[in-house]
Amino acid sequence: MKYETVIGLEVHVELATESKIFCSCSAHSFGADPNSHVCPACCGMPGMLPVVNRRVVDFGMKAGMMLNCDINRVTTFDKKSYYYPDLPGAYQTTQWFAPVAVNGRVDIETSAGKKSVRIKQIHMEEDAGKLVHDISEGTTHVDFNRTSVPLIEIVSQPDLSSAEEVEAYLVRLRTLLRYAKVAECEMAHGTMRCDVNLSVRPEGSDVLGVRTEMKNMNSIEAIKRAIEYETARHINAIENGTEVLVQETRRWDDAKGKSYAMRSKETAGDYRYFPDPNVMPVVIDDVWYETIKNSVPEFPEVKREKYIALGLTEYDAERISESIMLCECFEEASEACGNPKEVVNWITSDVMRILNAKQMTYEMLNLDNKAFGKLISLTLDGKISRANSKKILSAMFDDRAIEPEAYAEANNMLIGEQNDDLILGIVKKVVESDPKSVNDFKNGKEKALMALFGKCMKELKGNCDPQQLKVILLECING
Amino acid sequence: MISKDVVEKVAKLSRLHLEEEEIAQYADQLNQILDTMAGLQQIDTDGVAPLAHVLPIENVFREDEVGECFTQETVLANAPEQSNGMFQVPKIV
Amino acid sequence: MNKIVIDDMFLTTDMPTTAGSKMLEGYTSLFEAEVLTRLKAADYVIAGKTKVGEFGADLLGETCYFGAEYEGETLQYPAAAAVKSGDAKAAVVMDVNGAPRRGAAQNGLVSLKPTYGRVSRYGTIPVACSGETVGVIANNAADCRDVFTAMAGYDSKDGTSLPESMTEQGKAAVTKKNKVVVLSSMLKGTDEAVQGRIAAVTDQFTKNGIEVVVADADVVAYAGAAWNILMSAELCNNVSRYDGVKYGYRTKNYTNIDELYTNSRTEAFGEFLKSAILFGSETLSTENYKKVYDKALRVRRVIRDNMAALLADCDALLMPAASALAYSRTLVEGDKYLPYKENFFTAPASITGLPAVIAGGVQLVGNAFSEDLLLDLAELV
Repeated sequence: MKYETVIGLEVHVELATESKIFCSCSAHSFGADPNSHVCPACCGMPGMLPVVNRRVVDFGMKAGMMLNCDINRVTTFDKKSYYYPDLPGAYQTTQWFAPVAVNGRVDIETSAGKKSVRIKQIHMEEDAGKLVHDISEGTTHVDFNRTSVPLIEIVSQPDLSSAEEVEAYLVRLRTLLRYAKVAECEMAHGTMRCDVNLSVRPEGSDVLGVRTEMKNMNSIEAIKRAIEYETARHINAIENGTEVLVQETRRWDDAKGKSYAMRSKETAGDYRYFPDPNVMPVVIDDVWYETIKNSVPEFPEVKREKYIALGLTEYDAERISESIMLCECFEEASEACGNPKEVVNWITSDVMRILNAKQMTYEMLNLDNKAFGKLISLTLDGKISRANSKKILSAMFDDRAIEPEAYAEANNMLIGEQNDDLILGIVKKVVESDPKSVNDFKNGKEKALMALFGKCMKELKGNCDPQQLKVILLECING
Repeated sequence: MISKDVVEKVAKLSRLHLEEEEIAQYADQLNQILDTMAGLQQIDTDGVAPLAHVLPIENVFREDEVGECFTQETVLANAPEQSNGMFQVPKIV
Repeated sequence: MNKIVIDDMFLTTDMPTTAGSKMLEGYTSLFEAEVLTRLKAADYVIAGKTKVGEFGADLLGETCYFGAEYEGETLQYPAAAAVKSGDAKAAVVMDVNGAPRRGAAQNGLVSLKPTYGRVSRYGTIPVACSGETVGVIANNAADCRDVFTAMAGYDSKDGTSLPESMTEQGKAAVTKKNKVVVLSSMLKGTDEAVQGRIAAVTDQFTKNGIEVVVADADVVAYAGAAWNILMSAELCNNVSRYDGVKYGYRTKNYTNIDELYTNSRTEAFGEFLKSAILFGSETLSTENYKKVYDKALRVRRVIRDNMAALLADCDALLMPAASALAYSRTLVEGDKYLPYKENFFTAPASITGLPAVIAGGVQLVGNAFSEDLLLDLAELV
């Protein structure tokens, strides 16, 4: 019999705010000492009251708009109760009755074709802390640095049917949320986490099979492996009766390539949600709604088509539109220098080379894009040599404040007409010091000219328009 | 009517241990409390929205600015047991 | 003399805050309640803390782990006793379930439970956050007013704090009607002494040219039932943080995390608190939420609208604060449900957030922001 897999995803994404959702502790504690980014509010002590970080709502709305959701104009926070040491209040403040965004859609494309994945809802909530297990001592240690870091949970409908589709969906989700600049979405950093709800049924059946939920996958590759393993386990159970499938939460062990049933919480499902009396309703009026709506960027496809119309190759347009940071770099630099094709060449060569050398992702690109455009202009105008422009660009990566023209001037890299005498002096010196090459050239050895040219350029520290140098050199040799 | 089973379930959910006689006693207590509110069901609330907050205030926010945290030492000042700057509990399986 | 005492529900950094519970025995907070900061700035001296029942939710402190206070055979609210004895000019109290109002009424003191949101709850032990307020007990209306003025006002650290503009607007909208309404439905179950106080205060008002009329509002009589649901549920949630992990009592008897939680809580919480936790948890269960909790929230709106309509053409609703002017030890020890029953009289103001003033052994519930007017009325009693 043929089977189909039915998959729904719950994706948690950390929002890229500066501070936590209900208190002003820093939301960035990666690598910090345990419990050093904590106040009485986010470690569950009595008496502190939650006050919502406005930007969390901005980001929640924007994420909803990116995923084609309806925005709930009145959205509220609720308390969800359960006991676990990483949850200091024994409740999580989340959204149960009126989440910020509902009824969305994410379009994906795989080898099986195009597909729309329906989004049930997006809700805003606080993250839990971290547990550190000390195996030798048999104890667990709790670090609350991560508690109350803002999250959105994106709940899809069970519209996915393969590991390939799940990958396409997650990549798309990541691209869109990064486009909106609301989240880092880096699974390796834990800023994007995914639980997989999966069941299997005979192809064509409209009855859902027993559903299991899998947690603890730390990469898209691990998610794909987990889905393939779990699908096989379900089919095997159905066909061969190897085990009885039960609705449960399972933990994926990527090293072993297996999923294991987690100890079932005897109380699962009864989270006793109720409206948080300390958090007033959030009411999104038209002005606020439109402000966020207007900040929603063009989608990647739109940018790609636009770039192709500007004369970029399909390949380049695709590459640039992969990341909003590259898009902005391309668009702003193009505007500054008026030559999009040249800009894309610089991005795909120099910028990507430097990023690669610095082991930076596209998202970490932090250039002053206008200044970058100006650097290109200066180079095209012959005011800075190509070799020096690379050096300047590299410096601009380290210091956003660098203004290329001023920097070139300060470092003697600016090519000016007043330099003709200087160049001539150096050329004369080189020509006099190497009569052999001069003779070789006069006897028809073109390569000898290049040797002389190279020597001159070295003396000039590259600070010279090559065309200009060539003219002066030829004039000098030929008298 | 709240049964002994319900009391047991709720106690477990609330991380409270009750002895056998306590279960019966609380079942009785809870039913007495319940009696005080039997009349509520008679109040017509059709078309009435729930009132979770009595004040007509909405949109209470703080700006996304980082303030001062407490030091690790202060946060752990009241901890019954700690280790390596963290709260310590028995091994979580 | 500006000496005041505070309920053991306000967080202090120089002495422990226990909320009357073994769970927080010896617990010293890392920060101070906003009201205390304000009172100190206004030159009030905090002379000490007064005992409360476990998490302040009981009748008059009888469930305090550190012992109830009896005057002879009569249960006494410690904060009221401190004011009455002259140890302090006033007591700053936490009104979770009406205890301070009952205490003031039974001692012939004046007490103010302000409009919800006028006094910051930052740094108070949270129990029933949707209705609990910081209040005052004093010998007279003037002292109540002074202390209230010193501690009221917007606080950005409390998300339910009223902005000054709203308070000013609200206060401006209060107009004097020279009329008080006695709610006959709220006299149910009161003893002769209480009825006598109602009659005496009525006379006093009439003599001062204030019209007193009797009205019936059956729905207000359901406030206690609805408040029991909301209060217990919120209490259950708020005390779930006390789990033996971060601070407070930790059992010695555990081998795993579930035993750590369960035994810490079982050993540290008292009987009354446990009943509130169990009941509150049950009202929020999947099966009960719609039928019980959500129903109580809807009834709350009906009650609020009903009271607002009654208050549209009068200054205050006159009602008792308790069924009796004293609770005997026999009564208190014999009926564990008294806190759930006696809040029949205090819940209308708790559940709606309306201000209430106790004077002459009775309670006056007024329009939002009418604290001044209510205290003016108290001066006539």
